[in-house]
Amino acid sequence: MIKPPLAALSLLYVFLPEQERETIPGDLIEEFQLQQSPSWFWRQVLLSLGDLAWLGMKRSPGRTILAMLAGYLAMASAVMATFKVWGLLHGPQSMLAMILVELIGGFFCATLGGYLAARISRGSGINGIIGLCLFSVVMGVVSLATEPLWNEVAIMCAFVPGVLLGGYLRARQARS
Amino acid sequence: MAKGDYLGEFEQIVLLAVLRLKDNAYGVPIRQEIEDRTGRSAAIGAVYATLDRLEGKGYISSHVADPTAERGGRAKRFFQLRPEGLLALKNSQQAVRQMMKGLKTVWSYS
Repeated sequence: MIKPPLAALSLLYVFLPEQERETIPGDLIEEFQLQQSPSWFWRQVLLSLGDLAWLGMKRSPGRTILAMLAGYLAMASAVMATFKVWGLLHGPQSMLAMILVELIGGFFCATLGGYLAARISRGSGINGIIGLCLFSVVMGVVSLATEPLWNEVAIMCAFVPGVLLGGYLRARQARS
Repeated sequence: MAKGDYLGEFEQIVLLAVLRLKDNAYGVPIRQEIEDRTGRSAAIGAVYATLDRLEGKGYISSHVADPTAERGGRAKRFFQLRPEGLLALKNSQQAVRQMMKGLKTVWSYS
């Protein structure tokens, strides 16, 4: 048997509802033996997670919005606090230092936001996480009016993986 | 027939795939049957979401078979059409046929 990408399989396994944890990964592994393309496997996993998120949003829209807003609020507050503390400790910084703080600090703050959004959402929390990612991107585009492009790109590069990691950690915690 | 009993387009397609596949109706062949016959790409997550909804409505039933090696030791979930599902399918097809009646001329020009 040819093994599919382990990261994609783990991602799928963590976010799938209990009754589908055997069947959907099994079906994808069976088809992967014929396709043998890791990109095909990744695409199927991401599409399936998108479908699950959309289903969760339709089932409980109020909770999804609450999860999204609470996650964003937590994330934004943590980012502001990080910058404040960093500024107090180190004074004015070069642009490179600011980008690094934004990337590293933003990633951990987004992890916190993703965790909270997943916790508030029902089930695996994938609807809250995807909602938070989309909301962050929208807010990033809106902020382009006042912030430079590099700043928003740096924030997105840190936020989206951070949110996904937070959701992943919450889903793992909920399963154990 | 109550309003909620009508089937959506994708629900009809999935039910027809289950009907065609008879004893071999599980995720992989259902997805392939839909792609082969409609040319429409269907993600496995969307297929299962629809199958779960149809099972919830009592139109299909499912059972889990033994795990197999080619699936990494994971089990298959087979689906069967229930008489209620067949009736819902017939009613939905009938509704479309009724709506099509008298549109033959319009249809041939489009």
